[in-house]
Amino acid sequence: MPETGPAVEFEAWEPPSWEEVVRVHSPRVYRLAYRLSGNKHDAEDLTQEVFIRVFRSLANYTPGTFEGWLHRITTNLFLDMARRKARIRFEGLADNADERLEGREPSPAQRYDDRHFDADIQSALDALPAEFRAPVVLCDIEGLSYEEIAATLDVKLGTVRSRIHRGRAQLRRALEHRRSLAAQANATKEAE
Amino acid sequence: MDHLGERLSALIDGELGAAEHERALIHLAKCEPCRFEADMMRRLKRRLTGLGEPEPDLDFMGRLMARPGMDSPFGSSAPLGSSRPLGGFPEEPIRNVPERRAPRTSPERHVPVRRPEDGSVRSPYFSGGRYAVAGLAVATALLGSAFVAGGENPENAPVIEPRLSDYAVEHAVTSRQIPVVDPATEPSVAWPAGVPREPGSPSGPNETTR
Repeated sequence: MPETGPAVEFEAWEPPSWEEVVRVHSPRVYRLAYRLSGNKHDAEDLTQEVFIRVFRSLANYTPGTFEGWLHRITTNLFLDMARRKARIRFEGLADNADERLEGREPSPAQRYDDRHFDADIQSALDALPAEFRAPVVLCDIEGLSYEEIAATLDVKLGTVRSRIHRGRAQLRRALEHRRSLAAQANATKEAE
Repeated sequence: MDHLGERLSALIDGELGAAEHERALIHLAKCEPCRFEADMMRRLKRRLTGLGEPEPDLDFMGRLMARPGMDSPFGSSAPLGSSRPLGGFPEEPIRNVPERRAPRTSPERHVPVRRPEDGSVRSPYFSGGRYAVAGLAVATALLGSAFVAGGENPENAPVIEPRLSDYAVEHAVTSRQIPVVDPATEPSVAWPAGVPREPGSPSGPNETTR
């Protein structure tokens, strides 16, 4: 916050330029969007939607609180998107939340990806239902506390804890599964 | 013996209270399976934490920064400084308005905004002059694209394009909540500071009330 005193405050008050806002915040929003959505295309869509909202509330810009708000809208927009997709793809099918979001096929953009991309773990993340993925990403990738995650997702602290735990357990199973598949493939190759 | 279960996650995240933390450690010391679990969990967490940071494409950043001239000729936008809300201004653009109401207020605008790989043609918007128009352009394009991204019917996506300062005054007038004053001399025309505490829903600040 700028110094106190109305005159000074007024002098100091200046909303950041749009470019500045984009430059400062978009990498972070994009990263979260990417880890949540698992691919470039959705990450860009998500980021764009976030910034549309940012734009509309530029006048509210307050350094410090802005970041938390960005987490929140990014995550919520992602959950919305995931629910929409789930409805479209699986309408009338299994009600089991754990299975609903599995089987997202990787897009070409997803295969393309940058060199830092850890494909294994991202696809394990992608296989997680959105409700579990969001808290795990917020906790382990974004480094938020349970309390912050609870606020972001608007759920109870206990729910955060159990979703993170279950999410990680599923991640581990998925990763082990991929490992054993890879091991099998190697064994077959060697046998030939 | 009760195993730690989800307390394990809380333990490695440092989210247990002091007493519970202590109890969990005592349990870990005695319980091989839980130690193993904790170890695996820590590894997984490290892997997640160590994930690379995907960077947004420069191209994409450019689109975020300046959306003008993408699909519709830039000349079709309102002139610089125009604060006339096209087809009427959404009554409460920042507060209390459900996100998707805005698009329907001015159907005459046509801004299909899509990424290049979708096959749309886009003129180079990184060329000179971008800065000259950035203020209005961003307003124009972003508000426009809001409807594209948020609405079901991108083909009819409208644009509402006040400059931000105009937008603030406009809003004050329409909502009759804030006295109308010159934005150049009175900062309070802009919303009193404080990012919405409860943006909760996907529509974010729109639902914020004061």
